[in-house]
Amino acid sequence: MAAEAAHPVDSARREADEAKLRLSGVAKSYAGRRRGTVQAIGGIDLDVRPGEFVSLVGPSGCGKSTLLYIIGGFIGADGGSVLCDGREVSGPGPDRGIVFQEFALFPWKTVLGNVTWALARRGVSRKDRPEQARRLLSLVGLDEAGRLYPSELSGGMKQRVAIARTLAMDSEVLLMDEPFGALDAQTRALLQEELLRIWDETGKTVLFVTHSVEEALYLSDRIVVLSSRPSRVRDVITPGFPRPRTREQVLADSSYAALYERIWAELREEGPA
Amino acid sequence: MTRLRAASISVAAVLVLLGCWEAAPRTGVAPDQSLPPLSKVLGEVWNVLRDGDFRSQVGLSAGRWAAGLGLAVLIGVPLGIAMGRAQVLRRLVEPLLALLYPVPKVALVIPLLLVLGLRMPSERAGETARIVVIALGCLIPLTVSATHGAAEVEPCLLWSARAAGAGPVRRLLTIVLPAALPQVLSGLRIALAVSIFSLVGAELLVRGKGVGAYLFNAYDIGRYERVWAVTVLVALAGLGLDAVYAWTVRRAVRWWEGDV
Repeated sequence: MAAEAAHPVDSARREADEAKLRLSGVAKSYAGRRRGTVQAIGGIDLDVRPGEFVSLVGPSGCGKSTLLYIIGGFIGADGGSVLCDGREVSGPGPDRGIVFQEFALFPWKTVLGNVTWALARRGVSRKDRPEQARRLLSLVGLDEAGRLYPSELSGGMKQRVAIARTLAMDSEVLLMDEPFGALDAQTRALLQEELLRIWDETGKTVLFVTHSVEEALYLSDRIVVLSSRPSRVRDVITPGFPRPRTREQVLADSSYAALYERIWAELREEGPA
Repeated sequence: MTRLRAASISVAAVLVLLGCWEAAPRTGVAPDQSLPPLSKVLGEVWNVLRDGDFRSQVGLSAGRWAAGLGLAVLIGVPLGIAMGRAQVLRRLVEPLLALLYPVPKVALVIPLLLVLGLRMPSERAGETARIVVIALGCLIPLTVSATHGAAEVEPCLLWSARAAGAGPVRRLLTIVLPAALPQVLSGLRIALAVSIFSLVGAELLVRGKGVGAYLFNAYDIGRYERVWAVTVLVALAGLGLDAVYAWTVRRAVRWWEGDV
């Protein structure tokens, strides 16, 4: 106790070390359409532990994606701070990979080209890139598609490539902005399973924005329910389904229905922002 | 509609026009002298193509065309890309382009000639004026399309690149440029058409040498078949350029989903 008091910086760092991501009082407002400002995010505190899978759910328009972009460093917050590995986030960086709903592949590059591009940014030598790219594509279940262009792929395949490209950055944190939102139900279910497998194999820390309660329950260690604008953390739910888990197990779990109902009730209460 | 059917409708439209051209002078609807029937014009096309004088004029015109279009590409594309990424530059340059837009650029050849004539020998002034007019005409579609292309790069592409650690120069070269390429190319397609009519227009106004001058000379000496033959050749040159463009772009930009 006395030692900690003598070195407040050290103790703060040790605390931050336990959290892969630490959000304290993150706030964001926008210039309103007519006049004044609209407060979108009203002060969010959240710690994400290393290797944890955390989902963000909330009523539409509550700023889930905005929060993710702030953590990614793409837009700045007006207040509060984001720490990644104890360091203040001031811009995008390879320690935080991001996957977008609309895939964000480079359409002028082949599947292999998209992945090798990210490998090159990480400084992987030219001769090692093809091998590593193939390994990553294999990890996301795309062994055959290397020479195709994104325009020749289905939505599900595009998102697999985007995940492979983000994995190529080798960031420990994976930010995912409704990554399966643009996919049909079947592809979506398949990719959820694949994501769990990849997460299990790679040990990434995942922060996952979704509007699907089922998806959040199936995937997450913790589910953070945000309130409507200006959003704050309304509830944090730890489903506690055993891992590795299958969809059937999760759906059959005795607590599933109650958790589902609880989250939905909260979202209903918040209403659309 | 099947592709074959769609194509045959288009071919039919052209055939009807050509048929009317052949029939109008023969049936007396149009005076035979000023509008010779198509068959005679096509015969004259052959004569013109074999005319050594014409071929040397084509060489000259092609040089002006390449210089004017090349100048426009070299200035317009970088300018447009820069405008697309830098709001201040866009606000600065866009009103100037808007002013220039409705001005018939070909008509500028006369004031250009007046200004340039004071500073250089008239031969060079004429040459420069024609090239500048072509470049001005092509500059607008190239700049505007490059501006839009660069401004409309999806932010998440640039964000992905930033997250991966790509700096501003690399983002410009490896993200903005290829992402803007389809729009730049569609601007180039318009510029190709503009370049042809600016070239001939400038050559008609500032005579001397070139395809336009050759055309006007034929008119002066009353060889109307030749006037029409050169007109047909100019149209074919434009069509040919467009076909080459489409063929090249389809192969070079295989990744692009839209029409070329």
